[in-house]
Amino acid sequence: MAVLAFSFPSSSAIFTMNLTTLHDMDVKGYVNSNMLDVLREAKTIEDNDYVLTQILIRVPLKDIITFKCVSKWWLSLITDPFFSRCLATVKQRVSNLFLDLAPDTRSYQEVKFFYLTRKPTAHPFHHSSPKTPIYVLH
Amino acid sequence: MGSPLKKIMLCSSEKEIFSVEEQVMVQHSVIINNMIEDGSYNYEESKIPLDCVDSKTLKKVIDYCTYHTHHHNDNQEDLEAWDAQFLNVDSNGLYDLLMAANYLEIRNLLDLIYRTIKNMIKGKKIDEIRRILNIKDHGFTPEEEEQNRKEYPHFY
Repeated sequence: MAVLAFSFPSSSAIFTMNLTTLHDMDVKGYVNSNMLDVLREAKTIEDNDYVLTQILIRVPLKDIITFKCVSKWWLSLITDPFFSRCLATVKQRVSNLFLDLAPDTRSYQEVKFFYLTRKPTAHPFHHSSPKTPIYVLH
Repeated sequence: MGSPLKKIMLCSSEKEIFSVEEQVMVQHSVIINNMIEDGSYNYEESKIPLDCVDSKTLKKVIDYCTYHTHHHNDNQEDLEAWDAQFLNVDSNGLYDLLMAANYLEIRNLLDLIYRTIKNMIKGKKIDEIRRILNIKDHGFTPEEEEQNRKEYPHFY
């Protein structure tokens, strides 16, 4: 799950491997054990995209609008189709939130969120059940 | 599943051994449940190595599982009060617990921690979130950051 990326100064190639592999190398004496300690220290929730997604889908949707400016990584998580699929797994979502994907704008501005109404009294679509939250993705 | 009094051994990253009632871990941890069910655990010899969980965190995780096994009939308010007290740890402790719960797949505990972190960042400004979650490199170019700040000043 945890993936490391590092590059050698002599070349521009970037190598990735997971922590388990690195740990195996450590056992065999290939890696200085201090290196592992430093990496453990540097870990934050940021490193685990699954965990971060799970936290973000629980945040009220209006905060998600703010959170896309927190970092590029968060923006890419939020705009990923996986994120909207995860959203549907969390109960008690606010209904009638729309995602408007504008294909011609630049990537970090791609997603705009807007509410049709704060507290919907009349359902805007007749063909679906009023109790079902609607997520429209173009 | 074995009898409730059977014990299993968990081994932390410091090689400290914790002996826990089987039922407690089987009920909460998906991974340990699978391990016991498929018969890969040997009661005489096996110790389950948890290399990414330190002793302090493992002890807390076991406390959580034990309490919730024995008190699952308590009323909701008491359990929530206990949970709040349980998660009264610093951010490193919370992070370690999150990783341990994620590794062992303890769904109740994961959900509890997710909700706690959600409450930490809910309604906060971007600068605060970056500080709370220790995000040093936001990845935006200075121009993009500038433009975001100009466009959404109330977010910062």
